[in-house]
Amino acid sequence: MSILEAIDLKKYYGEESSLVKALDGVSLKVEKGEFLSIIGTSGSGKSTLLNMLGGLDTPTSGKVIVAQNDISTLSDEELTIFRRRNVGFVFQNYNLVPMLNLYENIVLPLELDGETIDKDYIEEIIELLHLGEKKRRLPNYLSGGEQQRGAIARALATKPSIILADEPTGNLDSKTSSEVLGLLKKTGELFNQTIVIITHNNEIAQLADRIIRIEDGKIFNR
Amino acid sequence: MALATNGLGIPMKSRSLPTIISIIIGVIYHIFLTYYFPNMAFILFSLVSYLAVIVILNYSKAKAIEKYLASLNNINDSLTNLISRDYEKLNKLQTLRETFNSKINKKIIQLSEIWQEESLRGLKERKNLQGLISDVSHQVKTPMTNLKMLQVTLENERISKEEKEQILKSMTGQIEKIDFLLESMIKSSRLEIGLVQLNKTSYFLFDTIAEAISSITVKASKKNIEIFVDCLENYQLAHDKKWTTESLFNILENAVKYSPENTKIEIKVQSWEIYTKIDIIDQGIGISEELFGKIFQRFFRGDNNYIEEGVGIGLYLSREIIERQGGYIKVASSVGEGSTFSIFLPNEL
Repeated sequence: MSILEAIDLKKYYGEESSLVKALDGVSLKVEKGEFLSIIGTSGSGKSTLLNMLGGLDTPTSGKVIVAQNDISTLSDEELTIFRRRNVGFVFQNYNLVPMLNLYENIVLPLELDGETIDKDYIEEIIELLHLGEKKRRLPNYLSGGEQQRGAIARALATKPSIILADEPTGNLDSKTSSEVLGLLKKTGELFNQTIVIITHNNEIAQLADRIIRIEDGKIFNR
Repeated sequence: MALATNGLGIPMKSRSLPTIISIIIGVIYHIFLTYYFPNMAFILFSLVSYLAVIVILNYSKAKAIEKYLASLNNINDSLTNLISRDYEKLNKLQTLRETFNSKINKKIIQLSEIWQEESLRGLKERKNLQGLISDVSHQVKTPMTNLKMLQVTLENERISKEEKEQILKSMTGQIEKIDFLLESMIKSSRLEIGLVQLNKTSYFLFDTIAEAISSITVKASKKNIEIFVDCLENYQLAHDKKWTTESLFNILENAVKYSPENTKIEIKVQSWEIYTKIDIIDQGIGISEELFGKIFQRFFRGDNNYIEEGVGIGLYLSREIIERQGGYIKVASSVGEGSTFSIFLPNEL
């Protein structure tokens, strides 16, 4: 059963002479529980693809189907709710709210949805990600690896079925990258989540079940 | 029944006690008023307005109750669908509104997904087992056929004594191969089916490494390969000693197998923040990049290793063992220069 599907996705910018094809007919299927990594050089269109999979950007043509919903048919408001309830995002620059401490950041998506906080579950992910002693600190007092682990915890808080990570280790040294990815893989397996990560680092891509290479807006088979 | 209780035991039509009391109080109040305000028209108007307000309030209350009941009915229907596993209907539920109903629908769908997942998992496990059985029979077939052929040849009375000895030697080789195969299969199937419980206890990692090395020294010294270890002797790490030794041994065995004579193998242990990293660095033939993901698959064998014997189960087992302990394995390599296998085991239990 595929949970995430892209059908002939195209994204063009500009007109005729200055036409840029960021994505040029990308189709892919992601199975439930799969850990997929998409690799490619910068400018290859991989971030555009991820943004579309998560409903952050709309394609020029083509469809994105997430858990049997065609997300191109959703209104803006529906899309916002859809993202909040189904997808967890992890970004290269962590995107933690600087005024909130780590714990508050982690439970923020739950509070936005008016959910009661499942304290045991939150504690479990905090322990899994080795953030127990850091949870009362503000993001600025945390290392890059800790901030990214916090961002992963935040993405896990709503128990989404899909985690989308755009260069999650882009700002981290190779040692921390390896650790963060190892933890992401572990939590993904534990909570049976589908993970799609974008990276330009071959070594990190290795931890995935499947690797897709994207070049010039197209999937490059090897 | 639908009219009287709406199926939920909540009376819809009967007047509630507070309504009756407020009507009685209102009427008494107006009778009392007539003593002081002889203007009958005014009193009548006031009484009518008062009763109208009560009717309106009552009506809106009934409406609100109806709305909540509709909500509850929806949930009830969804639960019925869930019980009858009607996933198609469930998937059509509205989940994208900022309403209570929409939130509940989302949870019901999640629940149905979990159920589907669980039944799928059972199927997958069965498939895995079938795959394993077919793999085993496939792998055992070749040596079995060889054995049969050798046996037939042996039955021929005209063969010389030397030939006979030669054949018996080949037969021993084939039997050993079957033995080795079955041994690996049993190990991997036990791991896979979950018969093996890995027990993580704090041990000196150095001892585990030493044990793995001791089982490979004979093979290594035959090729004059030296093994160096860089690990603190008193470094403790929670791991399953027996199976981690097995995992290390498999990687070391591969390293020795694919390394030329007079080279060295290094084992380096580094303690990181969350994981302990064990590098096994060889100077062997190396692995090309597109095979990095494949070498850990069961029964995978490289193209150029037909000279070396093996079944392609060692690295698969190694990874399985490490992942069962909450760790992971990576490989870095360049063809012709050697490979580095990195094992990551979590520092805490």
